[in-house]
Amino acid sequence: MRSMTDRSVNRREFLKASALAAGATALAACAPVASDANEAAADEAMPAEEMQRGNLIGLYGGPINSFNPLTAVQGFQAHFFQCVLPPLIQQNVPKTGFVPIMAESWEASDDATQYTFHIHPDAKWHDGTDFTAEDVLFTYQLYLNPATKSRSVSNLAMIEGAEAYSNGEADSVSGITVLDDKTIQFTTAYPTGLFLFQATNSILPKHVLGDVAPDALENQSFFFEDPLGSGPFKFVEYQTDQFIRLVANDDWHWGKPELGSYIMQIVASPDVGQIALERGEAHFNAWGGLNTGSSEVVQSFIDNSDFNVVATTGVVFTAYSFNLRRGFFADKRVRQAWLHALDRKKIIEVFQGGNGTIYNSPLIHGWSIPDDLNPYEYDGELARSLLEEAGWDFDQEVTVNLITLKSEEARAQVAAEKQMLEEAGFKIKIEEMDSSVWVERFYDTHDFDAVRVGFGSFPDPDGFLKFHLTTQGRNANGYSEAIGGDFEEKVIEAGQLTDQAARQEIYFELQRTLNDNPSHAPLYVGNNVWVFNGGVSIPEITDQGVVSSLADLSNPLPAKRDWWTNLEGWSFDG
Amino acid sequence: MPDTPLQEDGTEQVSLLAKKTPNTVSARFRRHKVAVASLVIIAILGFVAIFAPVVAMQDPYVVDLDSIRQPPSADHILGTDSAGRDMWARMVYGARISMSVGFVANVISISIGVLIGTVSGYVGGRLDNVLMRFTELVMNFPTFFAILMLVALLGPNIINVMVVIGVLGWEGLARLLRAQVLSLREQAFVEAARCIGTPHSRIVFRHILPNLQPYILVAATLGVAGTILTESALSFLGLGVQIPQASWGSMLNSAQSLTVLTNSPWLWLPPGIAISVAVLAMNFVGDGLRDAFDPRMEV
Repeated sequence: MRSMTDRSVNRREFLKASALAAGATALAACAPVASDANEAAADEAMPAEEMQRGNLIGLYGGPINSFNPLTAVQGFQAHFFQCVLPPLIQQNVPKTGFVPIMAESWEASDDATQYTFHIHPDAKWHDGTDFTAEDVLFTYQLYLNPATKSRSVSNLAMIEGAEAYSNGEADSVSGITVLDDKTIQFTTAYPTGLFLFQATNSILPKHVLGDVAPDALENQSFFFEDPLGSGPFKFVEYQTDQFIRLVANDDWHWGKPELGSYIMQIVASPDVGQIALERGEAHFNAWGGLNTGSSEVVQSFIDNSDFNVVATTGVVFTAYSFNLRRGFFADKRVRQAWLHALDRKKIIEVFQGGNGTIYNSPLIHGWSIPDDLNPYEYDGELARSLLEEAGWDFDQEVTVNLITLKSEEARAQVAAEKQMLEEAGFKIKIEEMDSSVWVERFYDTHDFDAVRVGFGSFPDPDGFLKFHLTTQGRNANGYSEAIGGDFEEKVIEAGQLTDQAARQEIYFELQRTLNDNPSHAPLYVGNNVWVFNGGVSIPEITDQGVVSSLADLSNPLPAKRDWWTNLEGWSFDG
Repeated sequence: MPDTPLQEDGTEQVSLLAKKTPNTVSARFRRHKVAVASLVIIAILGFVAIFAPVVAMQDPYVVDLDSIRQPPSADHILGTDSAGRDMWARMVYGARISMSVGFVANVISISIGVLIGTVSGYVGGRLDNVLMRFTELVMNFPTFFAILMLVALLGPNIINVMVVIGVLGWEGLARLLRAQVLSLREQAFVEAARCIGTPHSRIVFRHILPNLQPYILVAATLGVAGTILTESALSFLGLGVQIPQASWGSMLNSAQSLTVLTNSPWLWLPPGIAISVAVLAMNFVGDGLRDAFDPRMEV
């Protein structure tokens, strides 16, 4: 205390010092950021044999919520499950079909109501216990039990007897039958070609979790500290918010993995990720962890011969979405004008570094898009005349709800879009809000004029249509009531058909409706950009589609975000 | 307190002595050169904020996608931002936002602080107890996080930011004023006023409040500085102004990207400097005022 009083600084001196310090800080901000010390720690702990076989480090842009597949929503978790707790089957890399993972094969009955899975005879849990059909039954009962806080109850409702089980009216699910130790059969309540998407859920070990009450499951240490898996990698340790370390499962039934280990390295900011990649302290951007939205960043890696940059089709489409309960949006010409008012090419060029694909309806699955949709070219004059024809009140203010934007770049883009819409005659008010408020107003109270947001993907058009645009789903836009006709019946019919050609025919028709009488004004789908250290080899990804200029980003591999199959074939030669 | 003559120049001494008493405070302030310079800076900032449309020369909201992130040039003296908007114009309009948030939020917090401090000190007893415990309660909130939460809930716009910062920033002043009022109300002139039957409201407005003026003035200048910083921090986190407006804090937000930080210093250096200068100037003026009001301070 004494020395403090002796050397006290008066306010004036303090302020003068502050002035100097402010200048110094501004200069210091230009210095590079130190990378995480724990990466080095992870390296040191690595046994020599793993290092020889390759120790791959993926970047993750945030912490993992838990290892619980019942409640999982994160891409990070999806990666973890592919490595440690894989499903029966998984979509293949180009997303044209499925590949077996814990299953060895499967067959569907001709009427598309019965799906039989044959589990791989050598499939084992990491403790050596056999992986059986009982584990699958146990896990699917958990997925259907609301007490586990499962997010899959409604997706799995297509299984016969699922609803009765979820409501507590039955003790078992009549549509799931264990035929023998290694065979399980699912029966759906109606013919559907979409069941295989529901066989991509992670399977949990019954011999570990079987005695836990479903409502106590979410707090089990299994989901936070010591998950026991069955996948190509075994869980070793998780340093909270720092890294997850996995080592190869040499008994993996599809063959010993090429890699010795895989580290999921969590970084606090994309800038730290960028530096870690440049220094070779991490080897690719697995889930966030790098600002691939910046053309400067992407260009710097394209120019650097130590890296391979790969683009795959994106899954998030950025769009405006209209509330058709608002009378001023009733006339479809108003919404068409909105699309014509936006110079989407320019927006992609300036703000997305050219990396984006324009869509003209909210269904972005290539096979469901007919080639005769109105492309809504940028035409401010046409937009204004459409508004005039529709008798638009040019004093009408339209509020656009946004989830609070974190970057000034994103805000600059919204300001540019606002200006384009206003040049056509709209009067736009942008309102940013917390995501919870946004969600409530959009999905629950429907208290909005329009929103602008990045919509997530569904594996099939059926998911998006039912969830967003029918009265069965969240019905945010009030679309099917507003446009009337048989829109909703068509959606339901397409979801139950098994003949792909017949489904495509209906989706073509629905696409034309959504294109002519828009529920959304889609801006673009940004492609996913992956930066791989030159030593990384991932079949079907790093051996194809390596881009040599920013322009190549607009011609992506049709692999979408998740190419996490055949992990045993991945290798790293650092 | 005897004052020494302000100047050694004997010829002026008589007139100076005659003027001395009314000028003491301003003379003391004028001696504080940094404070005077700071006052000039604040005046300039105020002028810029009020006459923004004239000073800016360009529209701060007009997007020009063909000239984004241009370095400073004759057309754009501070360059352009990520949407091709003129940085100088945005800086100037940003001064408007930052200064007005500073002043409005302070008017709110000072009003609440004066009301609670004076009532608490003057009335005393149980009401004083309740008000002071309430003040301590508010004081114990982690203010910045409470502001973050409230702004997130109410929606980020400039009015909400002003109100929330104002409503959560009065406790220090209230406690300071209460202490002063406690001692003032025991003074002979207040007692005298009470004896001749002056109503309480008149005592407070005529005898107590004028004596609190120095404290309020100092708290106000220092408070404005703090408020400008809080608003900048909120805008930096994306919770301040609405699109397409700009405040200095929201402009500084673009420095969060490594590429902008290294390649486009004109996007973040000017707002950073503006915040530092405005806050330092406010603090110096507050400092100068406090010294000037303090009769024990040597000039």
